Amino acid sequence: MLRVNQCIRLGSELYKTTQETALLRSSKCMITVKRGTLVVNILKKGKLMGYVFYGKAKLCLDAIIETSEGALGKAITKEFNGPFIMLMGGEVKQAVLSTVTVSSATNDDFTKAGCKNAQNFVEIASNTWKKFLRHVEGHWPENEKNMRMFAFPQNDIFEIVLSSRDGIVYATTNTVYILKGDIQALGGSREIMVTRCGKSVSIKYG
Amino acid sequence: MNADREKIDALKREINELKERLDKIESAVEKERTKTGIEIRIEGFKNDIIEGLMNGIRGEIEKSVLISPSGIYVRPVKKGKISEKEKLDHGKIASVMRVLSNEHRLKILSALMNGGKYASDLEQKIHGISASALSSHLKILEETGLIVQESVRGRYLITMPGRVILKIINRLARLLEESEK
Repeated sequence: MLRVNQCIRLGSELYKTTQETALLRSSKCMITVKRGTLVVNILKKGKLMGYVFYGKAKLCLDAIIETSEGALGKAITKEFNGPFIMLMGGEVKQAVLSTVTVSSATNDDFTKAGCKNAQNFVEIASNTWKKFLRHVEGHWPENEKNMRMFAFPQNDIFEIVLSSRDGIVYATTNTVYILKGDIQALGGSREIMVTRCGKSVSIKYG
Repeated sequence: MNADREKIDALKREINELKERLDKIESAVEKERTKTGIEIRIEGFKNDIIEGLMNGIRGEIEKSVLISPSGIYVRPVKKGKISEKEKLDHGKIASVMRVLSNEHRLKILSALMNGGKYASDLEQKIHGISASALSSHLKILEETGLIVQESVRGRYLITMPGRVILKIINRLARLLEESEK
């Protein structure tokens, strides 16, 4: 479980992205943030663990599985405007946002992004992080190389994208998509389909 | 559950027997062909029969067996009136047929039968089609649910319904061709 303790806190520096930036790019999924998105670090014992963003983000995910009988599922394209969280493990921490893609945010940047001021942004980021800790349970493998997790608040829940070197998990209220190596699984409200090397098994509910 | 498995195994055995019989017929026909010089193409026809059988069996299993996390159940067989689900929606059928009544769209579907392709690959594969026409056809096919486009890589893939429909109309066309002879 992600433990709420005093070791995890938000950083004091507030940033903005200076250009459109890809936070995740793979053959199946891409997450980008627009220029001018506000950023605050999430720190654990003073070390960078992730970010809370506030601004416009785009998620492109191919929740499509290819079977010998044709493709199933759909391409998901969603645009978010508001706060969301990104957690990172291992070596990617330093590579995602650099001095090239972020700079310190000014008062103008907060209003442009949709916040009243810096204080307002910090409150939103802090509430989002607290809500995330209340809703999401599980162990975060901090040392796992290339592990990234994105959590987009949607009403009372979070849409989650989890990415590692060999797979992706996407979970929302009515869809779960899993890609791990050559195995893909797609679960909807009435059916689960699992496929490997073009062969598939489908389980229908009712 | 065991009874269902036994039924499925029995059906599998029956299919294998049918395959063997068809192989025998094929070799007999082949002998006859070399004797008489009549060319009979049976391979495609044989595959169609086996595939039809398999689809039929799969459909029957799906209709009659319910698999849920709590177990596997056999559904009661409904007899009598045709359900609302089974009734023909002529308007819907006509709109699907309109989508399919275009040579380029059928060529696109056929090209995608062997795996996902980018628009540029399709443009090369389908002679005499402009980029704008291709884009328009792809959009129509996607809206109908016969193909799907990946949002990241941008490849086009044929969907399960797309694949089934293309096979059905292909078979229909061959049946009509046969009946004309």
